[in-house]
Amino acid sequence: MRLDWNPTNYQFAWNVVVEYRFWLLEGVILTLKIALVSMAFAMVLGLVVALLRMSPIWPVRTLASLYISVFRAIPPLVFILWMYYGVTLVTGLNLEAFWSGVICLSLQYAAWLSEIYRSGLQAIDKGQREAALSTGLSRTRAFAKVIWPQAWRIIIPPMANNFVGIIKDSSLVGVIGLNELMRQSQIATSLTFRPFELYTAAMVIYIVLTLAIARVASILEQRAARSLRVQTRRVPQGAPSIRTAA
Amino acid sequence: MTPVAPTTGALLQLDDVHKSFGHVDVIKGINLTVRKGEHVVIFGPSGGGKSTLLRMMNLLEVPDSGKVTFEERQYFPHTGHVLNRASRLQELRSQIGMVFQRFNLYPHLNALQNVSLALTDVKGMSRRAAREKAVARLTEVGLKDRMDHYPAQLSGGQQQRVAIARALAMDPKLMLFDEPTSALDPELIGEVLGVMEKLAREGMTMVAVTHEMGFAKRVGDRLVFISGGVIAESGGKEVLSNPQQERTKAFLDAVL
Repeated sequence: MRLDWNPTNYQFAWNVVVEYRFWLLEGVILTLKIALVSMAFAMVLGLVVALLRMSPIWPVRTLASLYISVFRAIPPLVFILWMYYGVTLVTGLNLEAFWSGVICLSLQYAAWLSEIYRSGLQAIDKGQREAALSTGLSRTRAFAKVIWPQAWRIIIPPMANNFVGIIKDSSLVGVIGLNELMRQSQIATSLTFRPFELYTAAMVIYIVLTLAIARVASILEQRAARSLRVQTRRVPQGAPSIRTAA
Repeated sequence: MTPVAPTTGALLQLDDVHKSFGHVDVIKGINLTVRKGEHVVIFGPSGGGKSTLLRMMNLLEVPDSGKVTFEERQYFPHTGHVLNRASRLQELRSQIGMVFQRFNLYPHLNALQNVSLALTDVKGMSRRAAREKAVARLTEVGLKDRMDHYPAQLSGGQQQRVAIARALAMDPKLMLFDEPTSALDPELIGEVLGVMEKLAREGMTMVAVTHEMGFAKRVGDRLVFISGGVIAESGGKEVLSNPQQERTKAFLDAVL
């Protein structure tokens, strides 16, 4: 490959990417595993924290908001190292690198997600809950059938942003020896001395993953909006949209 | 206020209920009995506690003190085990229909689903039976051809009629109306009042907070004027034609 502007006369060797494709693929799979498992935990825990944060009992509320402030304040890299090297040493727990990473990402993202849940839930008019309760619905049913379906639509886009964030932050767990995409490309680089090609490949893969998530989120959002009968412009099947054409 | 002696035929009874929000006393001791088949109209200046009083009747607003009895069963203060509190509340509310000023229809469900939700989820009816009943109720309020419409596709008057159908679907023994026409354009008020008057003629027990004095005159068996968190005056239609209290007089002069 030749570029017109090449001040160092660098000879590109993109073939290393092809050569290490399975190596990178393994990394992608682990990255997705870490991200998906962490996201699942964070979504559940985040909802719990959000509900506690809105509790009528003030000590519960305070505890939840303390959780949020603390876990949002810690840099993920520090947290991951502390968990894997520090906590295991003190407690004697034999925590696998995978689970250390997942625990850290889950705990931290639960804090971010809980605020997203909260803003979504609080955006729903109080009258909705009152109407549901006035017909005799239990509080749980009122939440599941009336509040949540409406809040969900508001929550989807910021939720997707955080999923993107978790994928990117999963690159940090490479430091505790997990061979996710970032670390796989690092190792491949040390074997081939081709940082530009391999890290470019890694970046492209991260971008593709992010775009895929954005696509899924917008489909989910449209579906939720359709059931809410909010005006949505429906793209005819097969017509090029901006995102797929890019 | 002189406490009202226990009345036979009482459907709902409030005994000396009080409620304050922060430092503001909104309800300062009210006794009110609603008898079966009776149509009670509550009116008075805004901020006087009308809505709060109405919302106490199905305990959407929990009083600070006093007693709330429905069909000779006490619902407030809660008696029995703490863990039964939620189910007792549900029991009370499923027997009382409520219609709100801002309709409060579920925007993600169509008219039919709005009406049938509580039928399946509270009464445990099958989807099919719930649907049938919901269709019947929507037909009664004149919206048979709007069943598949979502709230956003309906006019205010139609939305409020769906809300009435939603409350009626539960076969309530009592209907509460919280300023049901205040959020409506003037030309849409008639269709909602029409449905309410039909209900009254059919013998439904109801309590309505409203500024529609024409409706009050036509339908009200008992008119209750609330001001400053107490019942300032109450009685039959003579409350409107010949008010005894200065406050009532002043209010009626202002609105009529």
